[in-house]
Amino acid sequence: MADFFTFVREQAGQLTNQILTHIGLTLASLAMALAVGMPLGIFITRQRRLAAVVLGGAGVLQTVPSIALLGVLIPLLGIGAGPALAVLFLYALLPIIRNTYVGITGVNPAIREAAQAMGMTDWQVLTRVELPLAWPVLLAGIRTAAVINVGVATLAAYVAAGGLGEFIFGGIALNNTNMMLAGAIPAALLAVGFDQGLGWLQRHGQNRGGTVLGIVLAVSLLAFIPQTGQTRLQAGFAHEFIGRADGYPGLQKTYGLKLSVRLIDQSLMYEAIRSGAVDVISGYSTEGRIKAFNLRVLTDDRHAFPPYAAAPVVRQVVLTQYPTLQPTLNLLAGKLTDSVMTELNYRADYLHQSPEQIARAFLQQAGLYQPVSGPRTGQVVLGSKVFTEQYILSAMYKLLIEGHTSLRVVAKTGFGGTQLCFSALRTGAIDLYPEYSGTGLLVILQPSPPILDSLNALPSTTRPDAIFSYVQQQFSHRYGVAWLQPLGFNNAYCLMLRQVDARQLHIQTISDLTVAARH
Amino acid sequence: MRLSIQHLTKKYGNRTVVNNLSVTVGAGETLVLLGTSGCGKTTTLRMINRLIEPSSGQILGNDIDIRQQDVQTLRRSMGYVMQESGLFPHYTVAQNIAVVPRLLGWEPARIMARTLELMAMLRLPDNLLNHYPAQLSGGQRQRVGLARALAADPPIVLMDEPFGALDPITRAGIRQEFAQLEALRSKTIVLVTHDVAEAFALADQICLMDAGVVQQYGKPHDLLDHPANAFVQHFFDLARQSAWLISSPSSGSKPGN
Repeated sequence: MADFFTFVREQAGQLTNQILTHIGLTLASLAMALAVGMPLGIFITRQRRLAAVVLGGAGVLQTVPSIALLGVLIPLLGIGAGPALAVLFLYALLPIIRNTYVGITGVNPAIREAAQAMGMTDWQVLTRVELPLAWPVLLAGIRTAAVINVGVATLAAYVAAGGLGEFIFGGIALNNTNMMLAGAIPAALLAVGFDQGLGWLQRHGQNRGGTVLGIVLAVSLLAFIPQTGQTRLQAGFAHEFIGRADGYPGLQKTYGLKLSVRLIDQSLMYEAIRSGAVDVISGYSTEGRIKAFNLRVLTDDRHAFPPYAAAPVVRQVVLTQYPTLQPTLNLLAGKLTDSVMTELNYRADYLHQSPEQIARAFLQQAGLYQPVSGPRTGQVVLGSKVFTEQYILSAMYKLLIEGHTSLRVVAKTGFGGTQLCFSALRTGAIDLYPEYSGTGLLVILQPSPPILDSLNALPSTTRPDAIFSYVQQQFSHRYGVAWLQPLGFNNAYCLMLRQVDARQLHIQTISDLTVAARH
Repeated sequence: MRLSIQHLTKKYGNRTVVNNLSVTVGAGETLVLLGTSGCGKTTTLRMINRLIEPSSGQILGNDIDIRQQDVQTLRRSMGYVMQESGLFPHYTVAQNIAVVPRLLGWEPARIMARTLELMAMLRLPDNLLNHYPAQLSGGQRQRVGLARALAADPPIVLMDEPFGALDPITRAGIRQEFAQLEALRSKTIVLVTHDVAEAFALADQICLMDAGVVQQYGKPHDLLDHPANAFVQHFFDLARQSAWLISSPSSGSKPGN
């Protein structure tokens, strides 16, 4: 618990920022939903025949899972606050339309008739009688929408729109409980706070409804006032990169790099830099879109990133149980060079071929493809992390194992981070997955500084091999997990800029970037 | 204001709810529209302030077609009292009474003075001004409803079963008060009821309706003494029987037993 408070104290600035963004997203989307939903709700009380259509439509929108809705909106609205606000807006719409409609149609017809008989115009009947009487029901809808949106707004972190999702998803990916709680607890408190605050308004605001709605609108506009005091270069980093010792913390230590950082899902980073939503991203050296998107990979001139030789990691018990497994997996050893892997990633990310298609084509070309035949005598479970290269590699392993052995392969792909994937391996939920030596070293083993320094002190010619054998030996010893022969390529972390910016700002190395970011 | 209704007809599809109705109420007179449920009396009343538009026929106020006025202006010049009072539940007593004066743009001081005047006139204590309708008794609500209808001193007052929701004792008391109310004497009143005793207590003219058609129209005692047809005869016989039932010492036994 003490750790938790230490974390919160250290990250207070970041946390405040996330909370404000979270509130801003929630209120802004709520304000938009009110601006559209209330008139629409009122309209369908006048055109009852349309009520079923409108309410049905809004209902369907709400049944779409929020993450799926986000997925649909990214191609349309890109990365950033746009798609996040759009999802939140769509989610808030149904409760507001429905409760406006139900509230107004629930007004006693005799009261409405009295208002007309007094000589009120339609507008006066609406604003002086119907809306005030519908207020408790309408506010119950706003309350529901607000609470839903506090929850859904955590997803904004996926599209670089900020909010408490940054800590929550970062914490999950890094298996960092304090980080997770630092996001989850304020999010829960926000939901309770919104609910209670709006509950109070529901009881007291009946004749001041207009004022209240005005305040909500005004406060939410504040969220859009651009924040000042940020450096010119906006970085978009994946949560794992932000938290890992070999990620942003490593760069801060080695280079003294200081950037304005937004969290972004790693699969959306490239789209984000291309569209200009961010200027610097934490990519992978084998990424297929580097060329297509005209990106510049910065030289790691002070060697902050370790080598990342890719190889399958497998539980030793499984290798013993199925002796054919190891030689089969080793068929791929050395077959995938940097340029080959980059090309395969390119086919998936840019040409939109499926991982299975790419894997089969590669194996056929390499003469390693064998069709599945004969009965299955056992089963292995294959895991992967949630990015393109891992999907391609696991597709390749599946074809390879099922073609060359009598084993059945079950795939559990898409683990949200290294810690999650490795935990699954240790507990036996999966039997193997592709991993990288540098990641194994810094994320899993986390050796003491003296050991790290001694490894880093090695000349660059022998360092990669030394790190690989150190990791191999330690994994076997500590976890009973074997590193098989490396596939041949190195997928290093690297920082990327758009070529245009790199040229204009004269940035070629991370040291250059550090200097440029200071201005 | 003299109110003249001429050949008024209202149809919903094939159904005729009010059929060729013609009556006249002199200025300061009270016309009672009497009849059973569904006879068209409330529909007739609502056509006077244009809550319902007639299919044919016309209504004249001092010989001018009411449709020549803007509908809101027309309604603001006609008080309206409803069953269950129809008060706005989110408004206080004072706010309810002030509805029409506010719509007419009166000064707040004038509205306040008028409200206090009406409270006194209807014997409502001033401490009720900031109460909400739900905090009032049925009788008090009905008085506030009347105060609201009279607030802007309209020449015409329309009443739709104004005592319908009250218990018999309160009902008789309030009815008597209303009948004696000076402010109502000069008004042209159209009142809808199914209660014969109420009709006789308040009416200058009674219009007895059935199935949308006027059965007889005239002074109360003309209807009683010279029923125009079998329906009128039967209607008043039934009313007498129920009055007899109530006054009979062995209540529950049938007349003639």
